[in-house]
Amino acid sequence: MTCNRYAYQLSLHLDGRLSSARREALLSHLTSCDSCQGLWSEMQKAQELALSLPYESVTQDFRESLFDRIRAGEGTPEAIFHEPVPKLVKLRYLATGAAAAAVILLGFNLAGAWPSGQQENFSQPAGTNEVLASGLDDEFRPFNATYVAEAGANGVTRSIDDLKFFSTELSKKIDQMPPHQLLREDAQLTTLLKEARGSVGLMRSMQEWEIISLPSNFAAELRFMESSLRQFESAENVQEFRFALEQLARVKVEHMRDPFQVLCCQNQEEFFALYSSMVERNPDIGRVLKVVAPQNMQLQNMEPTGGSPQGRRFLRMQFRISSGSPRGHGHQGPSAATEDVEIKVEEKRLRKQK
Amino acid sequence: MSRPQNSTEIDSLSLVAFNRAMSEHAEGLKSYAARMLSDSILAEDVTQDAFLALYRHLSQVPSSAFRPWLYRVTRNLCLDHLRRRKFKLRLFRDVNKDDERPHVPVDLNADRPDQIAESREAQAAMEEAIEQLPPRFREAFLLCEMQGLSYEDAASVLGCPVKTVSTRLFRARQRFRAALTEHIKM
Repeated sequence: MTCNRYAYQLSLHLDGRLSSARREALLSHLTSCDSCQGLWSEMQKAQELALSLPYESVTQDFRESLFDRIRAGEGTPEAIFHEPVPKLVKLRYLATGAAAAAVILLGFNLAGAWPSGQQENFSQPAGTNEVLASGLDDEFRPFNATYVAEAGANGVTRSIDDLKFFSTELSKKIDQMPPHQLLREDAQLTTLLKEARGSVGLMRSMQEWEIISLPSNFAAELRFMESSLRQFESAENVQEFRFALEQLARVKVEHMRDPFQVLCCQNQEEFFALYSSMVERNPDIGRVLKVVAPQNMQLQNMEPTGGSPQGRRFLRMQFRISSGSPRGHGHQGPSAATEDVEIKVEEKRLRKQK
Repeated sequence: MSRPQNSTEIDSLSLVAFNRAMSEHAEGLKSYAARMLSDSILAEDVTQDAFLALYRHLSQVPSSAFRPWLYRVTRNLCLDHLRRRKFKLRLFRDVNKDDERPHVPVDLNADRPDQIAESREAQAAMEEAIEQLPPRFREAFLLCEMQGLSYEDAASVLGCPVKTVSTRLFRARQRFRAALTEHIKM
């Protein structure tokens, strides 16, 4: 392959779109070609510069003026109909939802489908299941690592945001109904609280797993959220209810908007299948901060690569996989050949505000 | 794209999803529209129009598709505004046109590219480089490089195959890089 063709592959590599075989070939070429290595450096720098350009902020009354237009009955701008969306696009997104559900179900099925002879040799890190099982609703059991982790990170910030968003409506309802009745009968509030409770429980689990790189105020904000939710749910009169609402509105969710994933899988095949489908179907996937891998996979190294703090960054993980039977209790003898595998996931991009 | 229904009742969970979409995508959409239109104020109007359209179509768009749907609508609105324009697009956005200072080369080998980008000349050079991209390349660049859409989502926004997106993005990157070397030492 000539260097010209490598240029296009470098562009694909920048977006993590190369297969492992092509990536290996490209990386091998880069070690021996100064020209392509220089081009690769330039491409990365150009991308960093492009990403360093500031975002446009919307004005402070953006949301309010939008809802004014909605309440005024303003219709859809005619121009959006000028290029109809192909039906194939709609089907694709429907399929994405179904495929995502299949990933979750796959996790459930594999939980009970142990390869023969391996069950007694495989053990998850002590305490993992017990931690996840504590204080969670039935819908989170049996747990699926992707769903649990993503809900725990994004879900808690979203659920608190949602409660804040509805605080105005809730304030009006307080005058019409006692708090305990409101908490019991208002379906919308019940749903939001259930989500918030579940999410906070998951975040507590994340903390107990000793996830690295949590924000420094994480523990304090989590405690504050738990306390605010408890006050909210135990309010006995209108004043306590309003006070709890005000407390919730002060939760600093912006400090916890950095989503992350925890992959907890029971065998190598499940790990790669789950990981591949996550990356493919969820472009906004956050960092993988902790990997609880089966015993024949050892995480050698995990480090961010490239990018300025405001640019695109990747997290590179290097695994050493031992072929043959996984190590574990009762397993005798050394494992067979080892293989080094590298996986790269893009961190959620940080934006520089204008 | 189907016509909206006139229902005024939106269920609470859809409204929650709509609110989330605003929090997560409003700034990205406005940034995209601003570079398409070279007009920050108009870009905010277009962004609001896009969310208004989403609100009217909430029952028809799955929440997982909000982001590409919004970009698709925003693009259509931008193209509509561009078609109506009788004059050439401005070359520079938010740059004082009376400024006669020459471009000063900036050493890109410094350790902090974000510090370099903060310099006015570098930012102007980058904005111009984006503006000078051929329209089809620029769209792929704005969607994928600047807004982080996947090839697949960008393909749905642009109405073209995924391979076309990757090719246009590659060519846009080539031209963007080449344009920067004229003003900035790399």
